Amino acid sequence: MHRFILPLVLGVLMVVAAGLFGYSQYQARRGLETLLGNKYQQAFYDFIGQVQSLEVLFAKSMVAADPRQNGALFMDIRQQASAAQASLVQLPLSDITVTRTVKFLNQAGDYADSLARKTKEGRAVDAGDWETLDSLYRQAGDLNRELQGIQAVMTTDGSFLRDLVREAGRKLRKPPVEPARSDFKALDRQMQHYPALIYDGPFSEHLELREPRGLSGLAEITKEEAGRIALEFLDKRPDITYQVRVAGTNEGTIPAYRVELAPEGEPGTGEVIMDVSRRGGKVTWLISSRLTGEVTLDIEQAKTKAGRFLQERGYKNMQATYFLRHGDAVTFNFAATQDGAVIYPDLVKVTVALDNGETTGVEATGYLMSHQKRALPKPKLTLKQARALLNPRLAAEGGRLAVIPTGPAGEEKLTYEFKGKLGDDTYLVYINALNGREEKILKLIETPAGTLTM
Amino acid sequence: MPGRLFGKIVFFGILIFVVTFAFYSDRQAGTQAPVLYWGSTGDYVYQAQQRLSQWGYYTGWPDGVYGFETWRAVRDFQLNNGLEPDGVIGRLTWEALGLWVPENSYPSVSRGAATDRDSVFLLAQVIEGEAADEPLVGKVAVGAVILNRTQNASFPRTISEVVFQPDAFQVVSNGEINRPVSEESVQAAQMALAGYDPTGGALYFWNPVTALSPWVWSRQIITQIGNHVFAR
Repeated sequence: MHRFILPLVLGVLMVVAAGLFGYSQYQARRGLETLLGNKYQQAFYDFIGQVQSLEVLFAKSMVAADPRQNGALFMDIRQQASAAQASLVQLPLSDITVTRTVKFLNQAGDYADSLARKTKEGRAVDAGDWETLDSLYRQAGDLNRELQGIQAVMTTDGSFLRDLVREAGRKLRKPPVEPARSDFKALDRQMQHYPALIYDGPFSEHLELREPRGLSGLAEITKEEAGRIALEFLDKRPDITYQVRVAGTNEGTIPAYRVELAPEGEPGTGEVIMDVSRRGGKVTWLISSRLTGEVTLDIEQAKTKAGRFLQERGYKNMQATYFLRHGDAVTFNFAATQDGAVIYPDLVKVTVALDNGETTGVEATGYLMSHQKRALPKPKLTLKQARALLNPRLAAEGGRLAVIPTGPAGEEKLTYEFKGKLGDDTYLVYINALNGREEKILKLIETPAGTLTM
Repeated sequence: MPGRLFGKIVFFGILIFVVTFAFYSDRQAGTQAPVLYWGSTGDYVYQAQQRLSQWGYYTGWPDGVYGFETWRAVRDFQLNNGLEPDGVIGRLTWEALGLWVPENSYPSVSRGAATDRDSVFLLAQVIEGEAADEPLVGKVAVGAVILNRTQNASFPRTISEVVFQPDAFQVVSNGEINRPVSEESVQAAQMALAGYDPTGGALYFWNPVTALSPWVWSRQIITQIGNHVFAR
């Protein structure tokens, strides 16, 4: 009889162990589900509160008469919109479901920001702005009403967020069928009925239609020409012939032919891929997949190589402004120069491999989008006058003319650029060369991987 | 004595059961590449075995269990690479295996938009998960899509909000984002942050062979890079 006792005890133990294990797993799961549900509830209630404040703030901004009061309201709107957006994207709703609501919040905040800047510069809020504010006010109101509806459903049967939690745990890429999401979908559709916002801010609608300035007036090229241009542009290794293949197109920001170049007879030593713009036949970007070998060059040598590479390919008067080392390669930013001023919007990035100095990457989209011969105004301030406007605590040196981008639609300003130190920190300060306004302050963080070179 | 034998089987059964789960939950808890040693199990062991086997140190079948064969392979590898031959895969050995990236290789600033090492790493994690088998240009492209989203009104404004937006990226939703990243993915992330955008402003990408959602096809396709199509 007793020979069965041990197995019996062990068997019971096993069952108990499995049971305990299962129960603890169940407990853990319940705990996590509650935690997640609470997080979602918090995000949801935050979201409602923030949209309510938005509605009220928009209403107030239309009543306020004092520009200072208005300025403060616009800053509040911006803050609330950004917080509401952050709460919304925490809810377990897919990016597709909330696209338009996110867009509304981004644009509302962004628009308020542009108005805040406007009032700060002493310009008045005009009739067009009132109309836009009114439209945003009504939109925030509608959003609010929808949310109240969702909240009412939630408080009556409580199933709403539970559904969302369950849904979040389920497998992806299944068609969403649950009712919870359809409420938000309806809400998102609602946001569609409003007109496009056009204003002076990065999320304004008209910006997506920007034309590359650097290519205006140039002729269309053929597919064959694209291949030829690509081969000419390539940083060729000696004694190697390349196989050129026009492999496709790119219909993005700058429409282009995709060209692939493979070194012949040396498989696996790095295919180079680039886009050649259809209009004007300019290389918009180039990336080589070659693996880098042992490092033999230093940053200074690589910079010389990168400069020469650009020079030989028609990019004259470029100045290296900044570099970033990653792995065994360095990426240099080259800015155009004109009449002694650095033109920061016209930026070409060149990546050089530190083993043989080959150019393994080029990114010229920014340059091609903004480059043109500029009619630079004559500075009204001298360098000395501009330096006198700096914060006296800042120990500034040098100073040079620089054109910097100040607006999302390609607005630019002529400034004096100063590098200054305060304590251990280094800053770049830009003083408007025409009216002496401080346009921008950048802080430099120097690391072994990269720093600004001036 | 069949009873004793049965008892032994049951006993070891429980032991294996408990030990397995202990290690299982241990692996789930760690988010970064953990220290591996004899007895470790799981994806990370599998990954190390695969790399060791590619480089000719490990002759067995990569099975995700750190046994004698793995221990010997790790020791040989460590001896050949000037590391302490302790048979434990720690940070230095991970680095030497090329599966972990030394911390100081991240940059801290770029002009205009401050880019810090955490955004490089987060970007690299998504790239690794979504495009591990793509060529460098395909990896840069995935990074560029994430950055393009932060600049677009219909998406959140920060890299972390874009990456962790529900359902936005499959590797985030299924937790695979926490795998160690390869050096190439870090390089791709850095290039994307430096401004490289081979997609021409794309906001979406998917693999035309495996994409199941009919919704994605309603987007305007801009270009194809490697196995992914890119769209606005």
